[in-house]
Amino acid sequence: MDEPILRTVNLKKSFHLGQTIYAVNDVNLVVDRGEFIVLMGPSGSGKSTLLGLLGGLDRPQSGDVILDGQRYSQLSESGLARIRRNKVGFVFQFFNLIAHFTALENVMLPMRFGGMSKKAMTERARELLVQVGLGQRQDHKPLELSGGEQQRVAIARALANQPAIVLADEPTGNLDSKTSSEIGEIFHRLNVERGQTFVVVSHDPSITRWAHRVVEMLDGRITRVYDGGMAREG
Amino acid sequence: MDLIRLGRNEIKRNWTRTGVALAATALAAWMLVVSHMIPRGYPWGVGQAERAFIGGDLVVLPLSSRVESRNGANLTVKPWEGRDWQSHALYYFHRLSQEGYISEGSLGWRAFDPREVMDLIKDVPGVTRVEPYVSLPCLVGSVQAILRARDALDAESFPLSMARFIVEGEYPGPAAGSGMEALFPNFGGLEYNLVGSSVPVRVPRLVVNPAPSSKDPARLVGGAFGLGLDWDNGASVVLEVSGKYRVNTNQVLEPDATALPEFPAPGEEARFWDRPEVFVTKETFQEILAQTQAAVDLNQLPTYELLISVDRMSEAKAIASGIQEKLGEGFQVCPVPELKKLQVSGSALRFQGLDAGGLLQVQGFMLSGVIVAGSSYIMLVQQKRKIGLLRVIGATGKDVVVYVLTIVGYVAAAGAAIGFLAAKVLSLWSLLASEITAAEWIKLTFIDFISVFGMSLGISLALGTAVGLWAARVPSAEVLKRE
Repeated sequence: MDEPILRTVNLKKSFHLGQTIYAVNDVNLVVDRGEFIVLMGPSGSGKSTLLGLLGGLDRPQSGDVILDGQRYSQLSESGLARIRRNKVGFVFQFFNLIAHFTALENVMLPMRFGGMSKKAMTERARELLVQVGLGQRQDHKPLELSGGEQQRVAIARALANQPAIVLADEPTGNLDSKTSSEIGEIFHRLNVERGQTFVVVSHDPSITRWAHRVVEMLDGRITRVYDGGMAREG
Repeated sequence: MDLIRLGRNEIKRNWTRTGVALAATALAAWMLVVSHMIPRGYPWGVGQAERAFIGGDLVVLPLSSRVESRNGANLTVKPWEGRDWQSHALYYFHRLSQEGYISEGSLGWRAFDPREVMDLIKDVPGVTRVEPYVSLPCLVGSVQAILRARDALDAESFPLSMARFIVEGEYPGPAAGSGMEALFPNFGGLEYNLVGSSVPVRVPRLVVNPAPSSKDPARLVGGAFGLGLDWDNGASVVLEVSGKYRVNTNQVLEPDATALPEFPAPGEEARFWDRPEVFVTKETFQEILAQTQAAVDLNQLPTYELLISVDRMSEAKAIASGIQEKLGEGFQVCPVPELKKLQVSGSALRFQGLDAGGLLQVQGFMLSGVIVAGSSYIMLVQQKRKIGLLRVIGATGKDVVVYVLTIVGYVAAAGAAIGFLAAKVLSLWSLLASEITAAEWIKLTFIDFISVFGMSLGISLALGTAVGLWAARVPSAEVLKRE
């Protein structure tokens, strides 16, 4: 059996707000290659904090994250930056695109940090934009794109460096239901066709139909894990 | 690179803050360039007669304390022991003959052996020539005058040339045969001596005694000598008038020139211009000295004054300070006063150099650097999310520092360019109004360019690096924060 692409070991993260609050409390999560996992739970349950820890955006108080065999606890800040650049793709609720750059340039940006040649970057960015259905909009700036289109650009950007895993934080939280459904379908297609691994934080139950597993959290702990729509169909 | 483009976009997007930073940097650059238009020290200019007549840019006098103190009541006034022929001290300290000079325990007015002092001075940076003032009193007929040894300077070059003040004839050349030539004043009762005529001159014998005028002469640089004059055993010589010179006092020295403390008070006549000096070459002077059977030759003759030429008058004050430091107490180094006029809207303005000019310039750039870095910091505080995003998509701390330095660098360079160009356009006017040549102006422009951009970018980038290091520590998790 393949090694899991991502694993957490007794992961803990707390904040001091008058008292110590555990946003992530002793979480052990295993994500297999090609798996589509949806993290659900009420606001404040620790979903986004866990996502930040999984992506190396933040460091835990204790425990560890192991991504593709690399333990975060053994990495320096620049080592974590390399992990984020090469192995993790991020999609955010508010897209977080650079307003002054075109869609193509936004997708190229992570590849620039990787030192890829301009020609290779341009070709790959174009290819990714075609894959998310924006082949004709690549020279438009974010403000000239709809919310759904902006999120597609963000998805293309997340895939730029062929990451081992894509982490999405409420990717449909800022979109209408139709557009949300389209984004979900893009995730699903990438998951099926490319075998791309996804961990998606969402409040939207409809996205679970594309998931293999659904992980529910409450007060920083995993309270329930159950099969998503793809698992049931599979 | 995209980060550079991103930085440029941020500059445009935050125009108000960028504008303030640009203005501060431009002002600092402008100040630096404009400050170079203001003459510093005592530059070449209208007072060249003074330097031509004295024969140097700086004068070293054996005076241990200033006589121009406003707090004169506390000074011990001594009788003035010096004489006009001994030096130009009365020009610099014009009340000396009336009020004596100070103070108890001071070294006093004295002659000194110039050789040791010259050795000390010659290595001071900027000094190009050191020459003792060599003179003897003399009688031209019944008129008292000063016989001065001074060769025609090489090429009689501006501004030390006497040539422009010679109204008739020429400066004496090397002695030929037994004839001894001299340049005579055309004032002070000596106007009747015509060029080509022979003039009898009586010169006293100089008596030189080591005469310590201080309690511990061994401590004195150059020693101390008592000079006596023996008119009975002097010599009578005949000098041939090779030329006549005249200096129009009012042409150079104006009443309001008292802006410099060494100048005579308003209404007072400058004694310097009343000094009737008869110029002979050193060779001729040596010959006259031999005829008086003095116990010294020209090279050993104690003097009361050294004349120093410098390579750049703009640095005269600094060089004077360097010499003063070398010589210590017991001597005073005086730049030969000279003011520069600049015509502005028809009125004559005088400028004095700022001793603290360099410091003010650096401070100006420090301030502009703080403003540039500060405005960048504010800009970045509001962009923590964007910095977080850059970190998330793979930017290292170094990339973030580059991003910040791009912002700071562009603002500093643009501000410096604006200030530099604005000031340089203004300085074209100074090119027309001053004696500076086009080549010198271009050279100064190049120096200004290096200074402005070096200081502006250097200081701003140094401070910007601190801001960049702060930005590099912005946690990437900032990007997850909800708006």
